Amino acid sequence: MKIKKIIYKKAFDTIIKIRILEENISKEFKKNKILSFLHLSIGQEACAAGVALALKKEDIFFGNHRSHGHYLAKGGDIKKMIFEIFGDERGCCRGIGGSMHMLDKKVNFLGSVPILGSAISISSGIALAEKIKKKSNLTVVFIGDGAAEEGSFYETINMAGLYKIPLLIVIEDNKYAVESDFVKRKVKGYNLNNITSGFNALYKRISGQDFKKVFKETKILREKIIKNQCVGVLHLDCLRFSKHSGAEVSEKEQKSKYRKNEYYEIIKNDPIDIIKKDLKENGYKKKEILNLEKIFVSKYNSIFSKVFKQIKIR
Amino acid sequence: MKFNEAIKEATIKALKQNKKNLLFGLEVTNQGAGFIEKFPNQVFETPVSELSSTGLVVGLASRGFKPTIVYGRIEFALLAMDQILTQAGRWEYMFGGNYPCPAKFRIQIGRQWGNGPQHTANYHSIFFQALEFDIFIPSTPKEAYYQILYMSHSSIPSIFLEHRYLNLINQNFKTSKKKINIKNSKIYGKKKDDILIITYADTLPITLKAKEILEINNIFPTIMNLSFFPRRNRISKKDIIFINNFSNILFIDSAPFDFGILSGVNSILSMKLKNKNFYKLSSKNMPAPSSPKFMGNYYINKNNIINYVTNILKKKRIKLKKLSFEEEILWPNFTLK
Repeated sequence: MKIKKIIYKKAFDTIIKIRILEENISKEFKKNKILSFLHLSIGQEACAAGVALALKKEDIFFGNHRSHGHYLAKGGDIKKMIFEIFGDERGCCRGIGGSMHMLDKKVNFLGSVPILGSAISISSGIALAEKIKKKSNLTVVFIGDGAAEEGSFYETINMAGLYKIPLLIVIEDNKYAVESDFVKRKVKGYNLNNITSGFNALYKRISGQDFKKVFKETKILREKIIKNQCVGVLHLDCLRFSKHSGAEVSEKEQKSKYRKNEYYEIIKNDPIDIIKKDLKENGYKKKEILNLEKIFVSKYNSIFSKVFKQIKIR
Repeated sequence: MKFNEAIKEATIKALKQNKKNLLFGLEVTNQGAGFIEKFPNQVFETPVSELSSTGLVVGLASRGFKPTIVYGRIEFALLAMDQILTQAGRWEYMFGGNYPCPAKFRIQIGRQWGNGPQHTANYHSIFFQALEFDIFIPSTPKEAYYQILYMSHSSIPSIFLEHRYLNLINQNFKTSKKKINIKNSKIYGKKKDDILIITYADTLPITLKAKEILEINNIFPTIMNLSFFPRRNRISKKDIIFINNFSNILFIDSAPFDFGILSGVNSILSMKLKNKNFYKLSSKNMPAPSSPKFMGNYYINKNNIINYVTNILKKKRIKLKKLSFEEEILWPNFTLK
């Protein structure tokens, strides 16, 4: 499958959009401007960008506690997201929901909820509603590797399979549930491929840091899921640069805390570096790439700054 | 029409009236139940996965459907509390409004014929703290019938707490084709009687039987039976004004009283009304036993009510017959007047 040049450019834009906006939000969090949980997806941007760009406008997204990236990749209103995170009434949930409740029905981002596992079965209901209405779109739910340990995950794969509901479950596996390493939480030999195949669901595991892989596999899965009216699981190995909740952490903190062994892997696999390589391999010159980066960074810094100026915290 | 027949009839009518009314649950598609034959595209058998089938219903409700899910016992619904309380019960509020989630939860609750500590819990009050639900607890076939229809039209998430203990209670009533109008409570008696008994749910039949005997002995109680608890005002102003006509107020509950529904009503009344004497009669503050021998001592019965009322009013004790096994333990089986 050949990805069009323009798609790489859009992906670069989307990844930088998520990174820059979250970095700005993170800075303000440190100044006590956000009095709620804040789950950043810095480092995991290629997962959201890859899935969103591979799908159609009519496809539906449903998210979790860490869903700024999914919302932005789907085309959610940036201003309303910033307002929401800072508790402003102009936010996408009128400032009531906060960071963990993203919503933009206009672009088919139908909500996000932070209780682990809840989103999975809710999404199956959304997908069933679309099926009853005889629509041929796909519903996608994003969960983490922790939520995939909830009973709801296994129950929903069975139930959605039983009802022949077209549902794509994207697992962003960053290896940590809060700050608990997966080796402490999973039995030796735990294998999602075996588990999901036992439920007759489709399954694919790839790197979530690499936009082009995510994009291609999502396209393939979409086609199969719609054709067979079944459940698909896209398992993305990814790297969360920030803590579970709160502002992003310094290099020193990364090294000294729970991420010690992974630190160099994180630096090596920044999705921004990977997409830059892809752009180069697809005909963009180095200067052109740097110029695009400058334009995108400036654009999203400016949007944040303009919106933030309008917000009165209290 | 019996209590369980009223629920079934109203459900069939709701499914017929609107294709967006859906029914989910274990065994709802059984042949002979009357649903799957008539509405094959609206009735869904669920796996034994309460949490996820409830989540599915929440998702459907958020997309314009009005699905009902049935739980055979409240103890099974407890497995789905995340979806009921945290998702359906918060949905519209947490998303800033204009995003209804009219999921309907039909939960069988309370005593049966001896199902013991894990099939008889009276957790009504859990839902009262969930805040965003309309709560329905019918005591009569007529109430059950109209409440099911009301729910099927409503855009508010709803909890329907269904006492199977009432299944054999019969009531003759005409089903209206007009707009469904339901009331928060029903009064049995006058507004100037000796004592007001406030009750709800499965306690109504024995309270009505006790009232008959008390009246033969020239003691006149009025009963206020609560059955609809709207999300914004669990008890209506009209009901509070009515209650103010009485100085002796007795709460009768088949659930343990403390921190339960009637305890909450008592607390509101204590703050709003003056010079009232409040009394309570309820099951003990412990789980329900299975054995008929112990059940007789656990649940309040007709004779307990009669004795307690005569005691409050300082009347001569009425000679009462010992209750039969049918009266004390089995489901009440008579026609309401």
